[in-house]
Amino acid sequence: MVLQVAAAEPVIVDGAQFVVERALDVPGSVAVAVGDSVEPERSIAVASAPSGRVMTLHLARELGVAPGSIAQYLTKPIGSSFEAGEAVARSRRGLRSTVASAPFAGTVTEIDETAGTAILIPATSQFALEAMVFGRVEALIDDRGALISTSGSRVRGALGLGASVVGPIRAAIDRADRELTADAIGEDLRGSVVLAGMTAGAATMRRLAEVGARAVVMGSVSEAEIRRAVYPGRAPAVERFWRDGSGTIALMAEVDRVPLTVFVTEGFGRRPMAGPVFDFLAEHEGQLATILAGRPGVDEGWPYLFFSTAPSQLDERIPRVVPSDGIRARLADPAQLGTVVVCRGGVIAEFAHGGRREVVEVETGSGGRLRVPLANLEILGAS
Amino acid sequence: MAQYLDASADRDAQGGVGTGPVAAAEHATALVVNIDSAVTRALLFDIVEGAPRFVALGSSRSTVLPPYDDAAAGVAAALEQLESDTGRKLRDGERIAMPVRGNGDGVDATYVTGTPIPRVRAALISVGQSDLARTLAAAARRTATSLTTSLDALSDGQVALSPGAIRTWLRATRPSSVVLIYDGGSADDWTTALDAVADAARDVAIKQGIVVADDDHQQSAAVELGNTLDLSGIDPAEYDAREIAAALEAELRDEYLRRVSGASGMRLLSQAHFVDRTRAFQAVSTFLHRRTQRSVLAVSIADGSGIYGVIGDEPVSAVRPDLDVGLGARNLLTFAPELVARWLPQRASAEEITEWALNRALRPFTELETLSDRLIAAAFQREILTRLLADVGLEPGLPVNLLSAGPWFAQGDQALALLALLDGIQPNPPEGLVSLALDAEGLVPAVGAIATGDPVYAREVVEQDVLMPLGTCIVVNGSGTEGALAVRGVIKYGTGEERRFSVPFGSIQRLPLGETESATLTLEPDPDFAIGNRVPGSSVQLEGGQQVHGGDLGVVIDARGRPVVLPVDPELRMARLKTWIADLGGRVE
Repeated sequence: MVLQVAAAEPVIVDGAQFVVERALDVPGSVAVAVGDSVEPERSIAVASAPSGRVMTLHLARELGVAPGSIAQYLTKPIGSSFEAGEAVARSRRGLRSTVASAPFAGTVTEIDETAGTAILIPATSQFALEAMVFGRVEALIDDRGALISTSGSRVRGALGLGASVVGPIRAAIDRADRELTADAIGEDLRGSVVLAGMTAGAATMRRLAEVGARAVVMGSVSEAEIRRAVYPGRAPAVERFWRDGSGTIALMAEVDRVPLTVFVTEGFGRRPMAGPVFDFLAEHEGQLATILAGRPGVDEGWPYLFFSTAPSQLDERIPRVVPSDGIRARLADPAQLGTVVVCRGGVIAEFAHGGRREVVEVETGSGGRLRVPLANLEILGAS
Repeated sequence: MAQYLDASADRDAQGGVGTGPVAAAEHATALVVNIDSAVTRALLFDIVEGAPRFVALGSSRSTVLPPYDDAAAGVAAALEQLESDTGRKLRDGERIAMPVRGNGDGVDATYVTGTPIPRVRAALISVGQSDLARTLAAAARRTATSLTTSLDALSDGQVALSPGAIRTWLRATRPSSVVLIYDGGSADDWTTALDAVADAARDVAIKQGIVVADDDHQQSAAVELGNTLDLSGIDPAEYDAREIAAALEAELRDEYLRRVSGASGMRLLSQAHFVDRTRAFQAVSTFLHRRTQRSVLAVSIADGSGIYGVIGDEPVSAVRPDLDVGLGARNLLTFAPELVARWLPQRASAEEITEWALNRALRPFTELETLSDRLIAAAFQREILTRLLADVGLEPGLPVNLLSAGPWFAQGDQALALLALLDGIQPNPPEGLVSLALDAEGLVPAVGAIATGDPVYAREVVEQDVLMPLGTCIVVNGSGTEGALAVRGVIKYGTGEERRFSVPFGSIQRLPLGETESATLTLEPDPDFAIGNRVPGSSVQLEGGQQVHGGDLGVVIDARGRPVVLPVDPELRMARLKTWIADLGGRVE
């Protein structure tokens, strides 16, 4: 197919200039001007927003009690503040306990014993959006944030969960095909973006969160381990946990509950991190890494890991690479996901049922050659 | 294609694709651009040797979704390929060149079908009985609507009592339209639902509200939502479920049409006529049904999944726009992994199947090259087909005489494609013969689109080009001990050559017969078995005008009975599946 664009941005881009969009989800005030130099912790926009709107909580109905009796079931007096998810009222019937929770942080100001309801006034919180990268403000996004020009290197991930974070990258393992286990994690990883090799389980992710690691970077992840990391007790059903309301191809889990930011380079399962990706990340040991988790609707929702510096006049644009002899790539179809290959030629047109398609001849690690669809090939680097 | 049309007399067209005598065509050259979320196809039709024919196809990856967010680039790329392959200039600057010129450049008519802009996002909230809600959900899914329902998304199939649950769900799904159904639930639940929608509407751009409720409940919805949403209502006491479903379908279809006509990216196709995909599919199915007097079913699993056909005299269509093995792969998680695993001739854990679907969702545009990927995809396809049937109250075992499948089925192993179709639909017509066909280029929706403007032209193309024969399937019903003889017979080729065969119960046998060939077939079922629903043990002679026609897969004797029962023992089951695939000429290792 024609727009099966042969030239693609490689997974690893080294020494180029990037534009990073940093924007609030809700309107706020922008705190930078075009041309400002920024560093990762610089606040570029601030928003204050109520955590919800004034809401009537149907307590009697949720608890299954008489409307006139709800006062006795409140967990705190009228006028008290509640965190999001905190129990506002609780009843017990035999061995069974029923809880009515606050859907957002706020204050219960009154109850209506005729209707069995309570009024929850939302709390107002203020939060700042940080630049997350070294760079220069190129343009402002009205009431939301800015486009920041930055330089350095970038690795594209397959899956990002959790908040965007910054921290020095630390290799906690020396091989791309080994799993990082909880017993290998020490306090020295506090504040770090941890390079974990092939994968990490729920116990390891929770241990990393305990020691204060900012993020874990791994080749692959078991979806069940992610659910267990988010819900150490009873994990929700698969189809509910991985619900994607955005309509894009980005996969969105319940990101707010992820114990630490997770950056996956290949995909789901137990697959080694592509060797060139692991080597590239390990070479940057100690350097400040920025992980920008994917946003649905932006590009294709991919997460990125940056090693950023202030922009330079000498920086190149992001290269677009056409498969050719010697170019390293990885396969992306489910069965062969993450398999590193070397291209042995350019794009060839093949005719098949339903039209023509572009294929590339590649060499696998064992020396075998095969033709793979261009659509299944992800170029790893420019050279 | 003509082989499917031998059986009955021609009829005049009454809507759909015309079947009357060929009149002077309204146009000579037609262009159809079929745009979906994954692929854009540009198909050119022209008069060849006096008759309208399919000429060429140009295709491109679709640019409807991010990062492009505009169909135009994909359309231009597909047209560029088409121009290059045909040597004809179809564009004149930023417009399609119309009408056709003396040198053959340009076209006389242009049609667009598919989903050239993202689907309308809608949420359906049901309070009370779920039957009406399910009927309306099926109707909404026949349009270009991405629908999520409280029945599927919220716990225990009912609106949860907490408005927070509905609000969170609406914020996640971001619908622009909400369908509210009150069908005998509690007043409290109705109030909860209205509160939650009003609350969510402050954060989510919900513009349209359709209220299916009695007058009192419509009034309460108007009080709560009237200032925020553009409301319309219908009272289920005054109309039956089918009428309400038709009204909802029309409303959502019109909403999508309004958006298409206002889409800025459609400038190149501004002179084109847009035809809803379901309507296009149904037009061809209706024509084939009228033309052959047989039950027909077209299956499409590409950008979403759908079945479109006429069973008996009843039109049947069911669509799941967000469910397929590409962009809709995330919704494959709604199938229990063990349902999928039972169709695999290899061991696969629940986690492996789940992670396959998630990896597919991460990279939906990759092509399935390996056998293991194709086997898993085919297993999911069987379950998708079963769900589509269930959406319209049907079960596998339909009396289908002509079963066709779209381009996705043509891209891999044809034996796997055939088996997925046979297992998912389990066709079981009374006479026991099923014609199987492939729409390799995606011509069915394209010709269906043309049919709305020039049915005579479309009819000619259907007669000549649309379906590529895969083969003929003979359904043997009955049951017996495993391996006991079900049917024996003789196939006599046009060359005079004969081949005898015997097929045990639980097996499939393939008899070679080329696409342009036909043969005489004699079938002698064992006393416990029957060809279709004929008298058990009665012989069948298919000769003369009843001869069987061939295709890439020839004649397939399916002696597994209906319904197809899989062995309980996993080793036996996997061995059986391997045998079926191998017997159809597919790879299993």
